[in-house]
Amino acid sequence: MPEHARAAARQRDDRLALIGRITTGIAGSAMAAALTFAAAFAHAIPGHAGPPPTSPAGVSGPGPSSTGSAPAGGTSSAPAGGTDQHTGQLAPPPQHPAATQAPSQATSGGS
Amino acid sequence: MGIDLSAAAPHLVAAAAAPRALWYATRATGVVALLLLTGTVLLGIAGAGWPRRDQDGTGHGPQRPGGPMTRLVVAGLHRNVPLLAVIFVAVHVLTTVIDGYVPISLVSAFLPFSSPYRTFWLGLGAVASDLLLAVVATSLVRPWLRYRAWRAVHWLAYVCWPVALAHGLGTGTDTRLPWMLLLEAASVLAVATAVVWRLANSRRPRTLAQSAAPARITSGDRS
Repeated sequence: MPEHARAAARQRDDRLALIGRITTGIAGSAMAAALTFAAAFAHAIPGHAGPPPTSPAGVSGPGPSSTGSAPAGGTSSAPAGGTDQHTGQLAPPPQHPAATQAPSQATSGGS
Repeated sequence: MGIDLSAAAPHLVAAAAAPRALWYATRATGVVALLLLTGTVLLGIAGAGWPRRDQDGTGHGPQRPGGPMTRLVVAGLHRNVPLLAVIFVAVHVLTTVIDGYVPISLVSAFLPFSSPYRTFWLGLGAVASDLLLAVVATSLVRPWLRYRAWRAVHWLAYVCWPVALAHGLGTGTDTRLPWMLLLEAASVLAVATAVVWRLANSRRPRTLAQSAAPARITSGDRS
């Protein structure tokens, strides 16, 4: 194999290795970003550990982007000691699925 | 100043509880998938519009940053990053379905506008995931496809990205978070800038060196 062809092949192999390294870096960064985003969402959004609204009429907020003007615990009569720390932030999905009716003992405790 | 572990423990336990973890995993993987899609689109635009030049203008001289080897790296990343996006979309879909808080079935995740929950916005997500799968699948089997057919499907990537963005904006209850808005605005700005750059670049007359440059150094990810 001529020297220049060998050099070109070596350069190409180097670039392919570089692609692999960059891809690995992107994958790792994406994983780290996902964990970071999850933590950030957990801090900013109450999630659904609290009681879902018992009926559509009880839903607070205008729609998908509800800012949760009512506290997250506002739809329940939870004891004061177990309220959500993230109240006043964003609301969980306002629509309540039929398949997951809230158990009667559910409160907003610990969410 | 100490940390009251007894007070923090219930919150830590609650945060690690499976349903809530899935809920946040859904959101996080969705955002990361959108960012990876944005990167994929940017790489595709860069690979297609990057001028092929060399320093002596003959097509055989030392390569400038836009040379074939740089194009090789860009094309390689343009192949790999969407595969990562597919993985994150898969996790996004699976965590949504498994979470069970909202009635979204696996079928609804791929059959557009079939979910009773936020039909339109989730339908956009299904459309985006279908388009992504189509683009990635046809690229994986590209050697067995006619170029025109592959290219026709590949252009759908330009539809997939804005649809995915609209899905995130419309479905998420997190879109009012300032940093989420910032991320989405930055994505839009980056893609818009890249599209303008490509259009401007495509209007320049091709030089002799460009036409003499090897056209098939890569697998031809010319989006």
